[in-house]
Amino acid sequence: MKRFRIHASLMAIGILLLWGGAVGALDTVTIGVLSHRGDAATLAAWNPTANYLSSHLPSYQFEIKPLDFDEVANALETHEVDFLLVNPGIYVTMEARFGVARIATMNNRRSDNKHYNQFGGVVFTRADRTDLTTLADLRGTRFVAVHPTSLGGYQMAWREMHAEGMDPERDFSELAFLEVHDIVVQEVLKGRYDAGTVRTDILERMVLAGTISSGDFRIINTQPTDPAFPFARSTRLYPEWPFAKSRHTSNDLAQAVAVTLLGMPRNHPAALAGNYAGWTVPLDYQPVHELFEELGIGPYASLREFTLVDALRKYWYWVLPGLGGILVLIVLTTWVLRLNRELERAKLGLERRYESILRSVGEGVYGVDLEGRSTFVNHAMERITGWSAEELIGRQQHELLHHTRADGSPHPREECPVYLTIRDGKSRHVSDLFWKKDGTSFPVEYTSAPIRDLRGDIAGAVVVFRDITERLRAEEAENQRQAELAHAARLSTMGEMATGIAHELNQPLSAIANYTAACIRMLSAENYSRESLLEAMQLTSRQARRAGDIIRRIRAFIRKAGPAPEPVDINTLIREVVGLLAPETRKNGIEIKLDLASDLPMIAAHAIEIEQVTLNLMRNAIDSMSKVESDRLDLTIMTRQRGGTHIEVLVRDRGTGFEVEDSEEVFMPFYTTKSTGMGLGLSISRRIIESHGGKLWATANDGGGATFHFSLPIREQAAA
Amino acid sequence: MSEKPVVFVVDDDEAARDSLCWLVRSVGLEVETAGSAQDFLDRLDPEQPGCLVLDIRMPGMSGLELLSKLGEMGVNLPVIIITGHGDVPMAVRALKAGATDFIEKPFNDQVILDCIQNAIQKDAEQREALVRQRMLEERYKTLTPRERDVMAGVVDGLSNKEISRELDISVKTVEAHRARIMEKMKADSLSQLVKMAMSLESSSA
Repeated sequence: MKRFRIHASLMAIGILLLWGGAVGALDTVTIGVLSHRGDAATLAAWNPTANYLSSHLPSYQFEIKPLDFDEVANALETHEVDFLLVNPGIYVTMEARFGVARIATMNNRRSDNKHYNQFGGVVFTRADRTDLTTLADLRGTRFVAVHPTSLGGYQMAWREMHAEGMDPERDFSELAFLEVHDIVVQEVLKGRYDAGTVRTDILERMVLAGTISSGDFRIINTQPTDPAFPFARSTRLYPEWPFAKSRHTSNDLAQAVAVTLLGMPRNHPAALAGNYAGWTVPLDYQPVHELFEELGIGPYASLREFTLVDALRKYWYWVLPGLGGILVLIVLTTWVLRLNRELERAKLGLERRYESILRSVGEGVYGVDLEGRSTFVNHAMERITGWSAEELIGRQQHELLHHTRADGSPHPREECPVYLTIRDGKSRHVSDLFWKKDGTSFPVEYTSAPIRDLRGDIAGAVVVFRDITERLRAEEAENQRQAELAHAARLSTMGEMATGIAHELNQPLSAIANYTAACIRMLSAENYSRESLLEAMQLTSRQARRAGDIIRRIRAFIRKAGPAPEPVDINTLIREVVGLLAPETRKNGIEIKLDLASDLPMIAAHAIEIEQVTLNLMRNAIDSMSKVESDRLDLTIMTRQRGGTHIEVLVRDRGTGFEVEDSEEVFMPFYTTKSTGMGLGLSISRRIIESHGGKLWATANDGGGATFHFSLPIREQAAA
Repeated sequence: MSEKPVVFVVDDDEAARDSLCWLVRSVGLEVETAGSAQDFLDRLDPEQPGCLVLDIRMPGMSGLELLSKLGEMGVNLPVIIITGHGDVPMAVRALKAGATDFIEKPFNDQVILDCIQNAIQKDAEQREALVRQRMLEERYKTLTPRERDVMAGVVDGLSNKEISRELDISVKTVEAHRARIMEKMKADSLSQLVKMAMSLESSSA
C-alpha cells in the first residue's frame, strides 16, 4: 500500500511536470486533498475539479496533491499547498495551527441523489439485540468504529456518549477500529461486535447496494428526523468538508477560487467525479470546534483529561514494554552520559594536567619536528632563554640554542644530539651550553627523547633542559668546602704527628751532629785523612738534605690542594707517605712492606688529597697494630691495576681489625676507636676518593686485621 | 783481656748508625754496626769485650726485647740505650732490664763518648772480675772434701780447736789442712780467704 502510494505520487508528479512544461509560465496552484481512499482514487476524483478551476481561472494552473492524514500539517508548514480540501476535523485542527480559512463548504451528493452540506454519525446494533436501546446500554459491550480520528465514523458518536457520561476507551469491553465504514457495518451484522458507528448515509447506501437489508439494524440514540436531512442518525449534524485557503494564499486568488467553486453547477462533470454536488458558502465549523473541545482532542488535546490510568488501560500492551524500553534507555543513557561526563572530565583533567605540568615544571621543555624546527615550547623555556614562543616555534632550534660550543668553536648541526635522536630514535642525556636571546650562554643538562606517532615512527623529539648554573655554583662551593675540610684534617693530622715528625727530624740532625763532631775530633787530633774528612762532609750534607726533605714533605702535606688535578704516579706518592710515616712506624716497631705494581699508568688527581687518604689509612693501620702484641707487625701497601679502568691501592694491617658488620660503619663521620682524634679521617677519605670518581672500602683479613682498599679511575681527566 | 774492645752500634736508621760510627772511630775505638737486633744477635761473640749502643725503637725485635734476651743469655755486655723519644717510663724499663746508660738524641758527642768509655771500662772490670772468679773456682776445685769442710769452718770464724772438735779430727790435722788451703787458694791472709769464699758463695748462689 505504501509502495503503491509512492509510485502513484511519483507518477502524479511526473504527469504534472510534463503538463507544467507544456503550459509554460502559468502560476501553479496546489490543492492538497485528504487521500483517505488512496492517491489514485483521490486524483481521479479531484483532478476534474482542478481542471475546472484552471479552465475558469486561466492564469493559474491548479493541481491536486493527495495528502495522508499525517502529511497535512507538513504540507502547510512548508507552503507546499495553497488550498486545502480535508474533512472538518482536520480543517478545524489546521485552522487552529496554521490559520487556514474556509472559503466554501462542499455539497455532498448522497445516496438519494440529493446533496447535503452537513452530515452526522449513526450508532447501530443488530436488530435482534433488543437489550441495547440507549447509549448507556452499550457499557461493557464490544464496540466497533472506523478510525479514532474519523469524525462521522467515531468522534461524533463519542461526543454523544461523552454527554451521557461514558468514556468509550474505558466503558467498552472491547473497542475496535476497522478503517472502512462498510466493514464496520458487516462485522456488526456478523455479530462479531455488539454495536458500531459509521457516518450517516452509509447504511442507506448499503441497503441501496443490496449488501444489507433495511431491517438488519436498529439505530441507537435516534435523533428526530429532519426533513432537510433524511438519513438515520444518532448524533448532531456537522458541516461537510470545507475548501480552505492556506494563510500564504492571497485573498484575491482565494476569492476568485471561492466564486468559481460556488458557481459550479451541481451536475458538473467535475462534481460528479468528486461525488459531490457543487459548493455552498462556507458553513460555521463551530460545532466541530465544540466537539473537539468537549472531547479534548484535535487542537484541544491538551484539555482532555487523559489520565495515566486511561493510558495504561488502553495501551498497556505497548506501555509495558515501552516503559521497560524507556527504563532501559534511561539507564543506558544515564550510563552513557555518566561515562561521557567521566571521559570528558578525564580528558579535561589530562589536558589541564598536561598544561599545568608543562607550565609549572622548572625545566624548559620544547618539541621539534623531523627537520628540527620547534613545534612547541613551554613557559619555562621562554623564561630561561629569553626567546618568546612566537620567536621559537617554526625555527631551527639548533641555530638558536646551541650553535656554539663552550670553547667558542661552532657546533655543527649534524653533531647536535637532538638531531641524532631524531635520526636514530635513541634518548640522550647531555651536558652542554645553551645560548639565550641576549647572546649570553648558560650551562644546561638536557634529555632529548624521540616522539613517536601512533604507528611508532619517529615524528620528532622532545627536549627537556635545566639551567644548571646554580647547581654548578653550589657544587663548586661544596667542593671548596670539602677541600677546606680536608685541609683542616691534614693540619690536624700533622699536629697529631708532630712528635713523630720531631723525632724524624732528629735522625738527620743528630747524624749531622755526629758527623761534624767526628770531623772536629779528627781535625783536633790531627788524625785524619783528606778522603775521610771529605766523605764525612758528604754524609753530613746528605743528612741535611734528608732533613730538608722532611720539611718539604710536611709543607707539601699541609698546603692547600690546587684547583686542577695533576698527573700522579701513585707509587711515588705512596713512597712519600711512607716517608712521612717513618717515625710512627719506627716508634711502633712496624715494618712497612711495599708491593707496588711497576707498570701503572699515571692518573689525574689532586695528589695532596690522595696522599692524605693513604696517610690516613696507614696511620689507622699503625694505630690498630699498636694495640696488639706480636713480634711480626707488618703493614703491606699494594698497588695494582683493576680491569684496565682503575688503579687499586690496598693497605693491609695485622691489627685488631673490625667486626664484619662494622665495615661500613667505620666510614661514618665521628666513628672512632681512638681516645684522640675526631673520627673524621675515614669519612673525609671516602669523600676525597669519591670526588675523584673512585671507591673506598674495607675488608677483614682472614688472619686478623683489616685491609682498606681504594680505587681511582684511569682516564685523561679525573673529575674533581 | 788482650782483645781490643769493640763498640757495637745497633740502629735501624743507617745515618744514625753510620754517623755514630764515625764519632766513635774518631776517638780511636773499634766499631761494629748492625741494622737490627737480630742481626746483632747473629753476630754476637760473648767473649768480645766492648759495649753496645742500642736504639730502643726498631722494627722487628725492639731494643728492650734485645736487652732481656741478652740477660737470658747471660751476656753482661754493658748497654747504652739511645732514644729519640726521651720518655721516662721507657728509660726506667730499659734501666731495669739491665741497661747501663740512657742517652737522648740528639746528644752531645762528649757525653756519648764518655758513656762509651765508661761502659768499656765497666765491661773490662766485669770481665776481669769474671776471670778472677773463674780462677778461684778452679782453685777451690783442687781442695779435697775435708779441706773444703775446714775452709768453711775457718771462713765462719771458728778456731782450730772448734773445727777439730766439730770434724772429730786433731787440732794438728786442722792446722795442716789450713796451711794447704791457704796454699791451694793462694790466699795471703785469712781476710783474703774470707773474701774469696764470699765471692765463691755469691757466684754459686
